[in-house]
Amino acid sequence: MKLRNIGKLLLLSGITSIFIIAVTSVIDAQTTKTTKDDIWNKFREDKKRIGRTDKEIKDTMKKIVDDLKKKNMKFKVELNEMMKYKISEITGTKPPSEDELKKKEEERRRKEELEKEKAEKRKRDELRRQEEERKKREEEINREKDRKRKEELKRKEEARRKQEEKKRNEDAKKAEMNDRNIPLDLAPSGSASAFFLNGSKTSTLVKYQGICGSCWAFTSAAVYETGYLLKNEVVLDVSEQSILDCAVDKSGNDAGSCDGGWYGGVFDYLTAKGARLEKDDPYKGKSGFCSSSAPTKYKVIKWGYIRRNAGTPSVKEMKEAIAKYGAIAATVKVTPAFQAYKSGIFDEHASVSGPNDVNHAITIVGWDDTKKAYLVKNSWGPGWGEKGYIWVEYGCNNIGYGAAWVIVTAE
Amino acid sequence: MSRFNIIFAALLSVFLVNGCTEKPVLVVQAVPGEQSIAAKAGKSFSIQLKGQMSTGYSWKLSELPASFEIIKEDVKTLEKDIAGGEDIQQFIYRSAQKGDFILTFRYAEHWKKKPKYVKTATVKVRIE
Repeated sequence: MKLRNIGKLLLLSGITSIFIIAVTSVIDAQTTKTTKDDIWNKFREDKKRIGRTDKEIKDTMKKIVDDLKKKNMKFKVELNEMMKYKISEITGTKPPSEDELKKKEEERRRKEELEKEKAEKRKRDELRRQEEERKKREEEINREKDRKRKEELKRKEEARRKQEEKKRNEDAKKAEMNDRNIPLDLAPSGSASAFFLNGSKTSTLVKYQGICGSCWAFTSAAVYETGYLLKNEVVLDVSEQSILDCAVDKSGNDAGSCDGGWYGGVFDYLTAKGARLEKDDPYKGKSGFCSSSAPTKYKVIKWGYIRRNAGTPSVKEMKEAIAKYGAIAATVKVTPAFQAYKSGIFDEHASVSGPNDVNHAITIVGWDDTKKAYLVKNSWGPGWGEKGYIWVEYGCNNIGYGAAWVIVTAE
Repeated sequence: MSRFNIIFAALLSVFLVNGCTEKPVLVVQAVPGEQSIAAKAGKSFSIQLKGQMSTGYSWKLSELPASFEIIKEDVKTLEKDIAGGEDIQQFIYRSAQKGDFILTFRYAEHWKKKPKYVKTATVKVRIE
C-alpha cells in the first residue's frame, strides 16, 4: 500500500515535470508556431521514451527487494524519483570501446605531439627570436663598435692632422727662428716709434768690465745673452773671461785681450765652440789662460754685419735688425763727456777722424724716435749712466759702426 | 795696462804756432810719473796721455792753474777696427803768465762719486 502511494506520487511528479516540459514546449512552439497537437504528440513520445510504467516500476522494485533478501545484502531501498526513468535515460555512462580508447589515445597522442610540435615550434621560434635579438644586439654592438672605431679613427686623424699642423708650424717657426731671435709674431715693426730691450724679461744684467779693455767680450756676451733670452726665455750668464781668454776667429787669431779686441772673432768662436757660463769661468778683469775650449750647447747659428762692409747702418737698418735679432753689437767713440753721462740723450757729436773712429764696443738694445736716439747697454756696471744704459742720439759719436747681429741656438 | 808702468816717454817735439786752432807748440806724450816741459807764454802746448777710454777710465787734470786756459781736450784713437784699445787723451793749454806750474793728471773712473785713482801723471810746466 505504501509502495503504491509512493509510486503514485512519483508518477504525479513525473507527469508534472512532463507538463512543465510540455508548457515549455508550448512556449517554444508559440515562438516557432507549433500547434497544440504537435506539443501533445511530443509529450507522449517523450514520456514513452524515457519513463517506466507503474508495472515496470513495481516489478523492478520487487526484483531489487528479492535480490536483497536472496543475497543477504545489507543496504535498504525505497522508491524514489529516479525509479520512474529507464536506467538508460538516467545513466549516460557508456564505457568506451577499445577502438574508441585507441582512437582517443591516438587523438591524445596526436594532440600531445601537436602540442609538443607547437612547443618545439615555440621553442624554435623563441630561439630564433633570441638569435635574431642576439644578432640584432650584436649588430647594434658592432654598429656601436664601428661608430666608436670610426670616431676613434676620426679623432686620431684629427689628432694626427693637428700634430702635423703643429709640427709644420713648429718646423716653420724653427726655420723662421733659424733666421731670427725674436719670433715674428712678437717682433716690433721697424717703423715702430720706440722699442726697448731693457726689461727683466728682455735683458740680462748690466756687467762691469773694470780696467781691462774687454768691452768687445762684454758686448759679445750681452748680445748672446739677450738673443738667447728672447728666443728661449732662458736667462744665461755667459762667461766674459772665457771669451777673453779663449776666443779666436775663424782664422785662429786671438779675438782680443785687455788691450782691445773685436766681437766678430768672438762670434766666429761661439759658432764653432759655443759660450761657457760665468759660474764655470768667472770674470777676473785680466787676461789669462783659456781654462776650457770644450764645445758647449750655447752656440751661434749665424752672425753677420748689418752692413756688408761692417760700416755704420742707417737708423732704419738698425731698427729692422733690432726687431729681428734683438740686441746688436756695435761700437761708439767714447770721450770724457760720454764717460760722464748720467741721464738724458747723449748728443756730444764729438769730432771724429772718420766713420771707423771708434774705441768702445757697446750693445744697442732699442730705439726711440721721439728721442731720436738708440738705447745702449754699456759694460761699466749699473752705477753708470741710467742704470748702466745710455741714450745715444742717432749718428752721434759714430754710434753703430761695425753693427753686427747673431742668431743663437734654440733649446 | 803695464805700458803705463814704464818710465816717462821723452819729449817728442816742439813747434811754434800761433792761435788755438792750430797745432800746439809743444806736445808731451806723457806716461804715469813725472816729467817736465817748457813752453812759451801765450803759446799753446799739448799734453798727451795714453789711456783706454772704453774701460770707463780716463785721465783728468786735478787742478787747472789760474793763469791756464784750456784750449782743447780730445781723444785720439790709435787703432782702428778694434774696440777697447788704446786712446790718446790730448789736453791743449795756454798760459799768458810766466812761471813754473805743476799739472797733475789722474787716471780713474771719474764718473764715480769717489773715484779710485789708479795712476797719476805729473807734468812740471815752465812757461817762459
